[in-house]
Amino acid sequence: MLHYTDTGGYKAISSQVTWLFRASTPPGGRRRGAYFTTLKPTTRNLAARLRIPREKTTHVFAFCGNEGLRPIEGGRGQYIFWSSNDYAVEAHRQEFHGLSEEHHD
Amino acid sequence: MIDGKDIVIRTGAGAQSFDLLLRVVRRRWPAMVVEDAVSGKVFRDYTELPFSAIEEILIYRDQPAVVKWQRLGACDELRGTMIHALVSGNELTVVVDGDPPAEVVDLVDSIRHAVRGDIFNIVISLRDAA
Repeated sequence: MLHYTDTGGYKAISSQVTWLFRASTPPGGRRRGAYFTTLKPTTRNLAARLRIPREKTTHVFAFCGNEGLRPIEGGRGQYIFWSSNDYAVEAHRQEFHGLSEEHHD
Repeated sequence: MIDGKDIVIRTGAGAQSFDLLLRVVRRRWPAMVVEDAVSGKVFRDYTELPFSAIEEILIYRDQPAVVKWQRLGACDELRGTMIHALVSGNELTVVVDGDPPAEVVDLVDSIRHAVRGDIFNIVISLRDAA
């Protein structure tokens, strides 16, 4: 599971031993939550398919397991998952954090 | 980390959903460019799309929008210039801006009407009637 962010978000989350992805209310009436994806940094049209600015894909957090996460409704539920509450990832689930271009499978 | 409004339309049109959708969009965006979202293959003539083999497409208003989306991703400047569509089983999902402009809201209404109404069947009925 992956979570993309910009430099500011990266610094805030990576400063904690247990990563905490805070639930927030995205624009467009989407439900408040913390959102994740299985699309890797090398995915074609990554920013367009997540419909976010490219500058928000510069950094990534990768972790194993999907406990407590649900697919969003519709076709993008194949690769976008969410939690209605803040989502904590403890150290034993953490696989990678850093620049997206440095992430390898 | 995610944006856009996901509009799920139940339909029996299956793989033909994209054909129906693109006929509607082309009327509003005659210079549209269609891209297979997964492979990146671009189709300037939508009739070349292998509808039964593609599950996810990006429809840009025109070629300049393609270039800007690739460089910037989603941003205010590109509001109302790209529609994302996915087919899965009996569902067509149309993804638009989180706060879409009126033109796109109207376009989605037309898509919903076309896909639910299955205009292919209407054409067949008219031919039969003749």
